[in-house]
Amino acid sequence: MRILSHNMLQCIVKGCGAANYPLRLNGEAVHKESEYNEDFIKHMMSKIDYPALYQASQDVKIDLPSSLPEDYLDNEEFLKKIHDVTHIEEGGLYCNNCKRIYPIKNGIVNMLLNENEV
Amino acid sequence: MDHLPTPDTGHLSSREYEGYVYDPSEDTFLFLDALSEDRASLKEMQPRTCVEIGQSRCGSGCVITFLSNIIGRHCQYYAIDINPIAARAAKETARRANIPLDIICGDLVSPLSRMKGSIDVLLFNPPYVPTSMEEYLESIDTSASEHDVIAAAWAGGPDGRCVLDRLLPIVGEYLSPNGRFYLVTVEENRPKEICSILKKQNLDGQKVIDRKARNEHLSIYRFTKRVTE
Repeated sequence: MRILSHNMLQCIVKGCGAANYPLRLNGEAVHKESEYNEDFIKHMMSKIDYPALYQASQDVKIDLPSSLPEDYLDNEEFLKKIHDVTHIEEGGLYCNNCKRIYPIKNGIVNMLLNENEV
Repeated sequence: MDHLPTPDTGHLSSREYEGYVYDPSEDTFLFLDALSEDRASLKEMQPRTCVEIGQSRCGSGCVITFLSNIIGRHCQYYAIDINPIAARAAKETARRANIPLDIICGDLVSPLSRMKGSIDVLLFNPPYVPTSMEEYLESIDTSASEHDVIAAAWAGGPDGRCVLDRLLPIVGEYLSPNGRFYLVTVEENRPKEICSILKKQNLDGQKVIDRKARNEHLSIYRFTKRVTE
């Protein structure tokens, strides 16, 4: 799972409530080489919930600035850093509210619910 | 027109996946042909978020990998599959094609509720084969000792609509303002009725391509949001 995708996921257990986002992240960040695509990352950053990304990066001990730099769209060093914020292969997402854990195995998050959670 | 390569899914014949993952078949290839037909407009719309729903079927990851060959790398790609083995196979297909695909194991679009209103291209090849309700329920009962995982990829219940009918009511709210939804159907699914259901969500349906393969009459439909003033 790309750590950037953490931004898109929330707890989906029925009745979990308004505090179902952001999820906490657990695991070891693994760097995977990928081609830098400036257009992609600029677009992502214009939509991203930065505080959630920052929290996720703290959870897995990645060093990011605590707030979005004002010049972020022109700050190539920062954009490259975000682009390289990388993957979790083994670990989990954790809901602070209802304590549900969504395991991550082989880089795939499991968000299948049990019958009593739907 | 350049020929786009069919994604490499050679790993599906390995012991890890054989018998657990639906192999690309006529419906898959027709799906690729439909996307290929639409390639100019797909490129032009510059999608940012593309999602394939598997429901055991995207298993191979073949369709979204093919789509990424058309659109390019400035987009985020997600595949969701209810079957963990199929999800793993999709990951391998994406790895072989070197595309940035995130795979989530889940039911339909349920993991992506934060993406409402932002999916530009949504792909779905549902279990469309008409079966009895019993056969359908058996196919999704993963607790059965002799559970046939492949059956879950095709058994669609009465009219082949059991799985699709769970997604149809929410398609519109997940798509972005210029988003589109591609769907595989057979005649027995009553595509006209599907079109009229989606019309109520301001989605206009059009057949992109159809083909008779063995005993099936397959069609790929494209649904696009009607521009409202």
